[in-house]
Amino acid sequence: MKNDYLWDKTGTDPEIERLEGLLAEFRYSVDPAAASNVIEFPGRVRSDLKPWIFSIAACIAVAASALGLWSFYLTGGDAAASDVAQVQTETEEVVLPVIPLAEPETKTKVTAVNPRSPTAARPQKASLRSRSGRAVQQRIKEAHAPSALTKEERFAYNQLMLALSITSSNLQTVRRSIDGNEISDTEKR
Amino acid sequence: MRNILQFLLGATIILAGAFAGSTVCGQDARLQFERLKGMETNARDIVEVDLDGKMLDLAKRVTLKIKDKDGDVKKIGEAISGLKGIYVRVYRFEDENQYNISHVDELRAQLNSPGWQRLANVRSKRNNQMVDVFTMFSGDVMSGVAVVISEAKSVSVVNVVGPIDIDTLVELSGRFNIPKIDIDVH
Repeated sequence: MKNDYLWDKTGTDPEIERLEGLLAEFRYSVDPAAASNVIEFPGRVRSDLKPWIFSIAACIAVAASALGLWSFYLTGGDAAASDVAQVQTETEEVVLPVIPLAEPETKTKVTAVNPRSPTAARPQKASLRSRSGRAVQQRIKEAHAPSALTKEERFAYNQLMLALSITSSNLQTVRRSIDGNEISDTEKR
Repeated sequence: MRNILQFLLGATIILAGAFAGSTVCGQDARLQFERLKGMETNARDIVEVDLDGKMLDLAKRVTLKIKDKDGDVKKIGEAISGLKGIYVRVYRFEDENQYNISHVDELRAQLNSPGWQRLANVRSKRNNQMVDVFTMFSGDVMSGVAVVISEAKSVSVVNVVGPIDIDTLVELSGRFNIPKIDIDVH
């Protein structure tokens, strides 16, 4: 066997030439059509979307989640809704202010708190032993208690009225105090 | 992938900073009443009202539902339309000097923090009356009101969070829909 023929096809080598003839049909061809079992895949299509668009979308999603959590934190969540129903089932009637104008016989305590507060005590039905206290309670009941309201609505409304009445009373006290001081200053002059 | 992570990290840092900044700079108008709990022991009458969140929203809706001929309820609804919370504490005592004035002073100290502006300050030797009114504004919008009245036999604190029409409230006091309860009667 002549090694040159295998190297650079110089010279002759009958044995190699015979083998080349026999294997010629299996020779590699650059024409893809020559190989019927070759499946051509299309070239990879480059996406027109820039990668930073996905980054921005992710940031927006994070921001929206954070805002949602923040507003949830601020509003105290939805747990109060179920607590309101529970409070109403426990109380037979709404808690009303007990601020008797006359001296009561015993100490009374009215706690009307938002059940969302973890330290809030459950509203308790006050023991009214003074006639004037009962009169105040009756007046509030008769004043504005439309029968169309539910128990929860009536409770919330009464709480609001109680808070507003105390607020307005305090503001009137402030006004009287200021006016009283102005009058005394005027008299001194 | 690396770019995405960098963007997420940056966004998280910015959001955290904004949240912290708003918490610090956006002063909350709500007062803390824990120190007043010591008064409950000796108090003859106690009134505590905490109205905010869904309960307050429910009450506001009720004011819109109720129709009275004078329209007072509607006026109230308009006066409190922006309200976010209203908190009341009233303590009345049998005799004088039955509570520790330092508890009230600590509450007043909260009103010396940035954001609160003193609107009125009245001191009277009669009944040892001390009246303080503070307001808080966020820009041009009122964000809170605090009224603290301490006398020899009573302590009353009202804390309103959110804008409220004070003139309307005072005007409607004692009329049909707001029972006139004079808590200063001794």
